[in-house]
Parts: sequence; C-alpha cells; structure tokens
Amino acid sequence: MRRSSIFIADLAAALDVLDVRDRDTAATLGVLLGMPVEERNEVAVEAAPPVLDETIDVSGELSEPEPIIEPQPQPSYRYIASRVQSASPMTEEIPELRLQRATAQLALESSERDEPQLPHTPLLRVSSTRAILSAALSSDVIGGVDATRAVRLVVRREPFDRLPMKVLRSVRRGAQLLLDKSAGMAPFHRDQAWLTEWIVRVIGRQQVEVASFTHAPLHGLRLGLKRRRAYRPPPRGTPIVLLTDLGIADASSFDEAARPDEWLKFAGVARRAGCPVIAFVPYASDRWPRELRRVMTILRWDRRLTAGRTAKAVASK
Amino acid sequence: MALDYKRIFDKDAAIPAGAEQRATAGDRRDGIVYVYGEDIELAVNVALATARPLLVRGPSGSGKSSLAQNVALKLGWRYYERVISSITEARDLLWRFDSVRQLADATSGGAKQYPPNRYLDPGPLWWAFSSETAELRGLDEPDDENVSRAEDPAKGVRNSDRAVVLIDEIDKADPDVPNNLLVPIGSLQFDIDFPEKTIRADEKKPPLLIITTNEERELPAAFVRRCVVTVLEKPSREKLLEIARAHFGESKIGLYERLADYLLEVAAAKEAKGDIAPSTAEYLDAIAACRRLSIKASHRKEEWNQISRLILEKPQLPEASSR
Repeated sequence: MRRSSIFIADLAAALDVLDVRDRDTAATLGVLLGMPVEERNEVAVEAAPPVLDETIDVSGELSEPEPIIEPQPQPSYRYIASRVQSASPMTEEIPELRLQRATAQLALESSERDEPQLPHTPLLRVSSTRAILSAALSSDVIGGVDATRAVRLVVRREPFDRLPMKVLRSVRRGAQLLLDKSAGMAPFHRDQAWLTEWIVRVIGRQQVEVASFTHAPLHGLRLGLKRRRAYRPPPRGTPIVLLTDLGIADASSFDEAARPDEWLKFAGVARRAGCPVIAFVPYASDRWPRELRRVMTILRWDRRLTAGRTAKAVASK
Repeated sequence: MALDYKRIFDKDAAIPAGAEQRATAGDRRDGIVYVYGEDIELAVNVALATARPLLVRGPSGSGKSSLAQNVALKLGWRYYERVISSITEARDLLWRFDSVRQLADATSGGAKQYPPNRYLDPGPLWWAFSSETAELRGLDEPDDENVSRAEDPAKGVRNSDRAVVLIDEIDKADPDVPNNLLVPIGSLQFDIDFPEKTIRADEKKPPLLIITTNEERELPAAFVRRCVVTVLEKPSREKLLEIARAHFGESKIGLYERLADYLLEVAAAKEAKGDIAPSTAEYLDAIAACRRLSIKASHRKEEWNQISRLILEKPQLPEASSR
C-alpha cells in the first residue's frame, strides 16, 4: 500500500464509496482533495470553437439570450475526474493567518509602500528556502539518552558517570531576526520582507523576535513603527539572524557606514551571550569584511545558496 | 442545501451508551458534544473513503482537537492522541525505546537480561495500525514469561478493530518532523528495529488520522498533499449560539446571546490590532464562568467588562506583544 500524494484514484474512490450524485457535493469533495472543479457553464465556453458571432445586434437593443441547455446526466465521478486540474490549492495558507504582524510592519516601513509593486524575484530559490532556513537556524539541543552509545558502553563493561545523550539539530530555540534598514539595504527591503515571512513560516511566529536597525544593532533597535530600545541579545543559544550588507554598500556610497569594528563589537556581545550569529548578505563573498568571517556565519544571499552549503557554513563555526 | 451522498460517518449518530461526560475543568477533551457543519462531516467522510489523513486547519479554539474524539465516539472506534510539542520527534508517534529502563536492568546486579523489544513502547500510530503487534512489542508470539506485553491505552474504552488517531498541533513540531511522517501517514506503514519488521495497517480496516494545525509554522507541501484538507472557519453568532445550546442547554439564551455579542466585539478589536482573537473555547469558558458565578445577562456593564477582560480579552504585557 505504498502511496504518495493524493491523486485521481483518491478522488475516484471517494466518489465511488460515498456514492456522490450531485454536483455541489462533488465540487466540495474535489476541493477537499485539492482538485477543484470548474463550473459546467465555463466548461461549455471553453469547449466552444472561437467563431465570429454573426448574431450580434448592433442596433443597441439586447438580443434574446440563448436558451441554456442543461447537460445530460452522467455519473458525476466521471465528470469530476475529467476536470481535475493540475494546480493544487492545498499549499495555500489560510489568508487571515498568513501574514505575520512583523511582516506587515515591515511593509509599512518600506519607502515603496505608496508605489505600485513590480514583480519580485526572490533572492533565494523558493524550492530550497525551507531547507536553507532549517539548516541556518537550527542549533544543538539535547534529545534524550543516546541508547546506542550507552548500551555499547554497558556491553563493554566500561564505566561511565553520566548518561550519553543524543545531540539533535532543532529550530526550537527560535531566532532573533534583525533587519538592516541602512540606506545601503534600501534595494533589498522587499527581499527582507520576503525572507522574514519565510522565517516566520519555518520556525513559527511565536518563536521569532523581529526588530530593525540602522548602521549596526548596538546603535539601538526599532520595534514596529515607534518603539525603540537598546540592543539586548536573546536567551542563550538562540540564533541571531541578520539580513544586512554588513556596511558593504554604505562603505562605497555613504558617509555613515557601519565599520567592521562595530560589527566585531556586536559579534562579541552575541558570543558572550552564547548566541550564534548568521548573516544573510546580498553581496559576493569577496566583498565580505575579512575580520567578520571568523566571528559569524556569513551566507551569500543569492540563488546559488543551497541547504548543503548553509549546513556546512553553520557547522564550520 | 444538504449534500447528497452515502455517509460512512453520520454526524447525527448517537454517542454509544457508556461514554460519560467528564468534568469540565480546563479544556474539554471528552468529545461528547460537537456541533458539525455539513462541510466538516463531508471532510470526515472523504478521509474515511480515501484512507487519507484529515488535516484540520483553523484558528485556536475553533474545535479542531475535539473533532477527533467525537468522531471516534460516534464511530465506536478506539481513540489515541498525541499532542505535538517542540521536542516531539516523528518516531515518538511510532514507538519509543526506553533506554533508561534497559540500562537500569542491565546494570542492576543479577537482573535477567531481556530482549531489546521489551523496551519498545508503541506509539499512537502503532496502536492504531496494528494493535496486535503493538501489544507484543513487535514479536510474532508472546515471549516465554509473557512479560513483554504492552498495555493498549485504549483497551477497555472501546473494543473495536479500528481506530481514530489525533495528532494535535503538528505545526509546533520541528520542520523535519512532518517530512519524517510522510511514509507512515501516506502508506500507513513504518519500520521498527527490534526485531526488524514493517508494521502495516490492515488495508481493509485503515485507521482515521486527524491532524490539526494552528498555522504557527507552514507545513511542507509534500505533507499537505497527502492529506484531505479542511478549514474550520471562525464561528458566526448563530453558530456560537448553537454551540452554547449544545453544551449548556436551552435555559440561558439571553446569557449566550450577550456573551456571543461580546465575543464578536472583542474578536473584531483584537483582529484589527493583529492580535489573536478569542474563539469558541473562550466563549464556552465565559458561559461556564457566568453560570457558576450567577452572572446574568442583566448585570451591569462593569461586571461584563471584567468578565470580558479576564476570559475574552486576555491582554498581553506590552513587552510580550511586541514579539
């Protein structure tokens, strides 16, 4: 009984077992299985040949509508099965639960809010974003007794004074997400909003503390539109995620660039708090400040980033 | 208009005699009372007809978790549940290995050495797929001293050869957990290590898996594609009143109406601020409190405001709400 995704046989089985006879029930059932069906009159329109309608009355009076011909009765499951669409709505989230408050605030803050939104191509590949974020934001947690190691020790009659424990990678610690709103990051505000929403999706809205900063985090954080506070690291072990250019763009274009020594100071605060720092930087690695590579995990925020590269970069720190 | 199909599960079926209402302290999980819409009934029937898990989405307090218990009661099937937390691993739903007990046995002088399967604790999916193998912890026959038998947590509650399993709040799990459940929920089978064996559900009597999510984390597309998906919407005023009557009877309609109006007002204000709105669970709590404390619909506004603040509004601390 090896089965993968729901497919046409599931629909046929449901229609058969439940002996569905009416269109409303069949349509509802199709939606439940991720196979929405079109209205019948739309089917008729689609099927009609594209010929010029010579009966159009140009006098301005409405012509009599064509009589609606009811389709002939047929086993509804055949009709539904023939209308299965490839697009599945099941990966859609519930609209009211979808947008996180942090993302909404981010969108409001954006200088682009009154301008029409152009198409957006994310910096990461959508298909691998979940895996990349899982790899980037996971930290070591104790996952219970390592039975294999413990039993091996007992069998060898080797003494041990503490139980060997399994170490797991998990996102359960959540994350502190810091968005760089310096002038150099202005071209990436939509990318920040996009990645923020993804991070919330992957590790949970209650697990993410979102704040923004300009220059560097130790200059103070902004929470929402009005509140400000001094920087405080999250609880020990919680990853700190930066969506930043580490001052790279500012350094060439603006006077008030965050210097590497300010980032070093921030990395020191994080290290003393026991929190790993992961920076998504939308610039090539040859432009990353050399001294920062040792103190934080820097990920190249573009479409070449993979889950494997991310895991390797995180593990190397 | 009523949907026209042959029901495997009938929402109007009577609860079998013997299923007793538990005390209503805390969240009500006895499943005795549940108010169905036609859409939920159809979703349950489709999941049964296709032997696919039913993924129930919807806001907190909308009745996702209590659905499974009520379906099990009405079908007369065994019922298992596991509430997911951030430390839950996919294997916990299949089996756990009690290594601490094994170590204790192995290191205590003179103790008999038992085979490893003795330390396998079957999880809810194992019990639901194959209670016979779960009871013997994967062995084909009872061991000599019959000491390895596991106790079915649902035994004696309902002796049916079929089961309903609630996997509650799957969104609380680490992102890898749903991916690690693809085979068990898709193919209704999984492997155990001691002894090496594949546990399979009876194809003719598959269990009904009901999985709930509060959308705290998005679920992997591959996981969702294996499920029948239904969404419990926020209840309307009429639905709230229907639920209140089902739980508490017809005697305090004025109270139900006033609290329903309060709830909808508070919910609208909360949603406008982007906060989580109170739902059916809070509504039932508020009615229970008012009944118990003899607070009537005719009481002054100040008292209603206090009840509302305690049960419906639940204000966050400023620091917490900024997270």
